[in-house]
Amino acid sequence: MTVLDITRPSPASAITSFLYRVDGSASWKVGTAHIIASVSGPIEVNKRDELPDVATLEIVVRPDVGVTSTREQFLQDRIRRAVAPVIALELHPRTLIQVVVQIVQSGDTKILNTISLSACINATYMALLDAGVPLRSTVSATSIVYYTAATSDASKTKVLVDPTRAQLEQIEKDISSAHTIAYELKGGKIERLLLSDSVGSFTEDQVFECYDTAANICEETNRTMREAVTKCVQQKSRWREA
Amino acid sequence: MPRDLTPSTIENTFVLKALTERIRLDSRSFNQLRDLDISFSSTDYGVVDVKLGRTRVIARISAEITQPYADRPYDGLFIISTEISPMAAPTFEAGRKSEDELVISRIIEKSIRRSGALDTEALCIISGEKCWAVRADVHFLDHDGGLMDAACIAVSAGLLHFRRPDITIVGVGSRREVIVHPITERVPVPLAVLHVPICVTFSFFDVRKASAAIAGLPGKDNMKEADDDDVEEENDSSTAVLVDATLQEELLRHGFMSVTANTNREICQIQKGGDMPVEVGKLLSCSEAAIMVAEKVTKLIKKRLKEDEARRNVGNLLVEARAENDR
Repeated sequence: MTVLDITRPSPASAITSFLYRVDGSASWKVGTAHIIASVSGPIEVNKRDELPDVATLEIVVRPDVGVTSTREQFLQDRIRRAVAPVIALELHPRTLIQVVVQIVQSGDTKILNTISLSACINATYMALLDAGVPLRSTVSATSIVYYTAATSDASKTKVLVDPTRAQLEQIEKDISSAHTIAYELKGGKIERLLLSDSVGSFTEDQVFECYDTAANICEETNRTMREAVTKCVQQKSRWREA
Repeated sequence: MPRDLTPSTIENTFVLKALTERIRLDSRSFNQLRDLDISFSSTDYGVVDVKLGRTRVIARISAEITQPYADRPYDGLFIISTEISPMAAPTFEAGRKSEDELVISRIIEKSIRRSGALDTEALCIISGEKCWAVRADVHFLDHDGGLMDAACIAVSAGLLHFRRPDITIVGVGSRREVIVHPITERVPVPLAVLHVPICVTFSFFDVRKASAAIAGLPGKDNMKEADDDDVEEENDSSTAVLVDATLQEELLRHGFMSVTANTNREICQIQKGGDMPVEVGKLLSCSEAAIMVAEKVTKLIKKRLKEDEARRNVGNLLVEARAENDR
């Protein structure tokens, strides 16, 4: 296996509990992507969506520009796959857990969804946590982009983690594959793979390498989340002091 | 979807009783706006985050090149999209328009688009062939009353902040082509904004009816001694007129009126709702108050725009490199 150049431009930042009318909210910024997610639940469910043994999970993704399209449907489906397995839906049967994901700035180019997908998953998870929805474990996601850099001697495969939009535009023609990977974590260590979504052409080696890289990044992301939650709890329990 | 909680009778009497004593629950005076915070995106043009108390709205302006309508070859397109998601409040259903939402989107449409705030003729590139389509997407994040006021401020500020890429037309006749210069190449161009409409919503409370309901309350006497910085109290004191109501006040009010005004002292739009009759005098004093609020808000928008430009205009490059002529 070749030694790879991995660059991560900026660490992620998160804020939780800033909306008043919903039960939980989170804002997730990474690269140029900015996502706001909100969670209400468990609340009353529409009769036709009611499930007898579990809570209904509704995920609505709203685009930054224009009306909802297939792209948002795609994102909704992938977020559900990543997040649904960790929610203890069976604890609140016949209710609704409603997630709204607002893309404020997608951070993607026109052909990719990778960056917004990983940011959406992270924001959704943070909002669920803030809403106090029962969860089994933690989730974090990351996006990895492979591209061939035309250096002076020979073309070499390079890796970008959570790139900014400007970086993506620069290498747009040389992108070979893009991956979104979500892990389940327990005690800050990765437990199992929840979602692996890839586009483009890549080798088997690259996928496994991708999983290893993502594992490290996800653990780091998990620490960022923990810090954000700690900060929020500190803020909320200020009244206890003094 | 869960229904919104109807305020209880106790809450209702409490708020109304406070109003007869000229007190609002958040200790504002009757014609005072909540804290207004306007901030622009540090990266993109035309992205505005407006906080009006606990109400929060983000507006994003975008533009692309399309073909104009066949019957209006000299006009560009301007669309405002105001869809309310359950993020604002769980009572809003995703993908379905409620009645409140319809009122809000119509008022915004009337305030900004039909008042001609944006010169659509300036968006024409080649008549009948190419024009700019400007789109304003309003995202309602948090709902604590005054959604239309916040949305109107956000869209107005967004239009002023937005820059579209510069273009040149090459060739003649049918072989004309449009070259779009990316904003990294040429200084982008602002939109032709003709005026800044600001929407102000007044909520009416029938205080006489309320004080009759609350037995033994000296409603009228109290009102006479009330502080005189309010414009709309003079002659008749049976109606309390509140500027920028919170959600609670919105749910309890007997009537409302939205007035859109600008700093040229022009009234762009008036919409009256609810089942409470209001005298002509009130209407005039409300218009006057709306103009005052519009002046205040426009001043704040201009101030924030200046701050944002100072931050972007490093080394005065944005001024020196622009291709526009001074008008």
